[in-house]
Amino acid sequence: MSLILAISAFLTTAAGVYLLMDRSYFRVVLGVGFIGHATNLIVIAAGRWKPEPPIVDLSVPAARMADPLPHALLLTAIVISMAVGLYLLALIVANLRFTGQVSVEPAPESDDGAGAEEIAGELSGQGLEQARKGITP
Amino acid sequence: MTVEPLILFLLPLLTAMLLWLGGLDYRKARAVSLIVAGIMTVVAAWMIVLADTNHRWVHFVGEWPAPFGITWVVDRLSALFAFIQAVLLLGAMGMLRADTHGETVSVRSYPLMFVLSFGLMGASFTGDIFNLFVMFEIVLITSYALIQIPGTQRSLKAGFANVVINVIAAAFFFVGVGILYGACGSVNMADLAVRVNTADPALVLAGSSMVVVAFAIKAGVVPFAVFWLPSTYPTFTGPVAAFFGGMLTKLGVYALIRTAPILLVPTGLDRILLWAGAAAALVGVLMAFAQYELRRLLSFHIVSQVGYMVAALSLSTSAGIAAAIFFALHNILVKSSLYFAADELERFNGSRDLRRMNWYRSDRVLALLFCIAAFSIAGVPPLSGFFGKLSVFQAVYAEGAIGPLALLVIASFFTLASMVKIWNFAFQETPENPRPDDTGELRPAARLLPLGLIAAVSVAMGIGAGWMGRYTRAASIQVLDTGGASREVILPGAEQRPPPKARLLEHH
Repeated sequence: MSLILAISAFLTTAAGVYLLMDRSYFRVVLGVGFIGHATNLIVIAAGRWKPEPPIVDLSVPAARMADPLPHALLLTAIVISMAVGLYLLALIVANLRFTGQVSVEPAPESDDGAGAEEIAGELSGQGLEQARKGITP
Repeated sequence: MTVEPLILFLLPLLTAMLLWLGGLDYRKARAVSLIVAGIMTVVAAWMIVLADTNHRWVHFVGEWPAPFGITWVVDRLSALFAFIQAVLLLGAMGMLRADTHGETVSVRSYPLMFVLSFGLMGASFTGDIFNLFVMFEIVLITSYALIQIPGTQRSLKAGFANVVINVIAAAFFFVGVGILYGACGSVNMADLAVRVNTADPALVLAGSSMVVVAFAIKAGVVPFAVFWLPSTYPTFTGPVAAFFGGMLTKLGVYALIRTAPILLVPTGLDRILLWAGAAAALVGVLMAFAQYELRRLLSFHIVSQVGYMVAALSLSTSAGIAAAIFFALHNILVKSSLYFAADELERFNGSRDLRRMNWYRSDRVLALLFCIAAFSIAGVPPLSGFFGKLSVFQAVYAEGAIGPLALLVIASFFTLASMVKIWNFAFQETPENPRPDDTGELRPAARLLPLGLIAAVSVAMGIGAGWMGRYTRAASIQVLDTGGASREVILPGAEQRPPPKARLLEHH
């Protein structure tokens, strides 16, 4: 069983890392999800996987009971990775509205960074778009 | 000490809820934020005094004895970090004002800053490595939200990269904790510190190195973080960036200090970190020196300064860890002062580029406060930076690590040079930067009061360096005293229990 867990963790991590390298934001989010699942598999394997639930039942030998703690840890990690995944999707939507693109475009790196326009945009809390239209708070 | 840690821990969370659900307008939200941050500062200062004993304050959640339940542990190190966070929070709340940053930005930032503070306090007080992971996540998720508050395209781009890199760091952390649990059968730090010595060394090394990589990514140690950190921090709203630049990377340093007896000493990872830290100090400052965007310059500086702390703490001696604590505390204050000053300069010059700044747009009070911070970070004697650097150098020299010491000393020279660079562009009258006919508008010096407060604490650290040195030395001895921690935290007899596999078999 440990071997199966180890191989699937390896494959899931490999898929996740491959997807992270992609230019498309959606694939990056998928990659993040895959890496999250791979960590869960590793933690299950590290917590010594056992077939039976850890409920006190004298007919089940204790050696066959799973250790509940790694499962409790996993629950937290699953919730966190789901929330972060949703947040990333929201960022993609926001980026789509700004630029009409869902992939990493080569950004013109300038030494002076953002100019007065962007600083004015930050003031309004509404960003660059509003600053360009000349709306000041 | 009974309720003080709970006040520091729960008050920010309750305040954040009030600010979100209460529908307060800007004035009320600001008043509430400042009052709560003030209370937290006073309580945290009092806690430093209370924590100055050899007994740790331990709280067992739900009365479950450790290592079976969750524990909160406060010692000198936690108290120092809690205080510095509270001071910084007060400063950032004070500097985040409607007239410079906009009302919407301020009202949206206040509650998030309190959630951030909740996470940082939790990370300082937890006695449990998994709770440390959870608190890191709270801090990070808040930072994901805070980075989007300016709402520019640049912040979207930096935000995405920030989330992805931190998710990867979190994956490393989580897997490391899982492997350590598998090897040692505990996630309680006091318990782990004893049990790593008898556990399977290969498993402990695997788990520890993963957790150390996670901390190193968060702290911004050179091979991991030199590319994401300096592109992320300049996109925050000014005062929030100051809080982040001061505090967030030092959270990684705090975690490394806290877990040094668990992760670094038994595995020999400390020798690698020593060179990584020294290299970070030099690489970071050289990259900083090449920048013209003010906040990018300061962000590369963070990488450099973290290098000093990592080099010092990786010595695993009490002198080294004491130096790392002192340097971290000094650097949190000074670095955020520089960020606050940078934000003021950027706003009044209407540009982030040093080459477009003009000396006449900065006033005398700002120049004075910038000077204090810049001299302090360069290590000029009466200020806290001198004692920080001196103690780091002494600790590294005492271990005979001449190579890393040389790198740190060279880095120190470039720190001074880059401060002079900022001064020349932003404050100094030069032929390329001549006096204009109009002198610009005058701004009230009272706006810099929060920055003055932070500078004052930093100067006080320099004047009281003797007391601080004694306190940080005691804190480092407490951190390294794993036997004492185990005696005070862990249920008597529980540290003798066998690792998980054997425990399950004995019922069979």
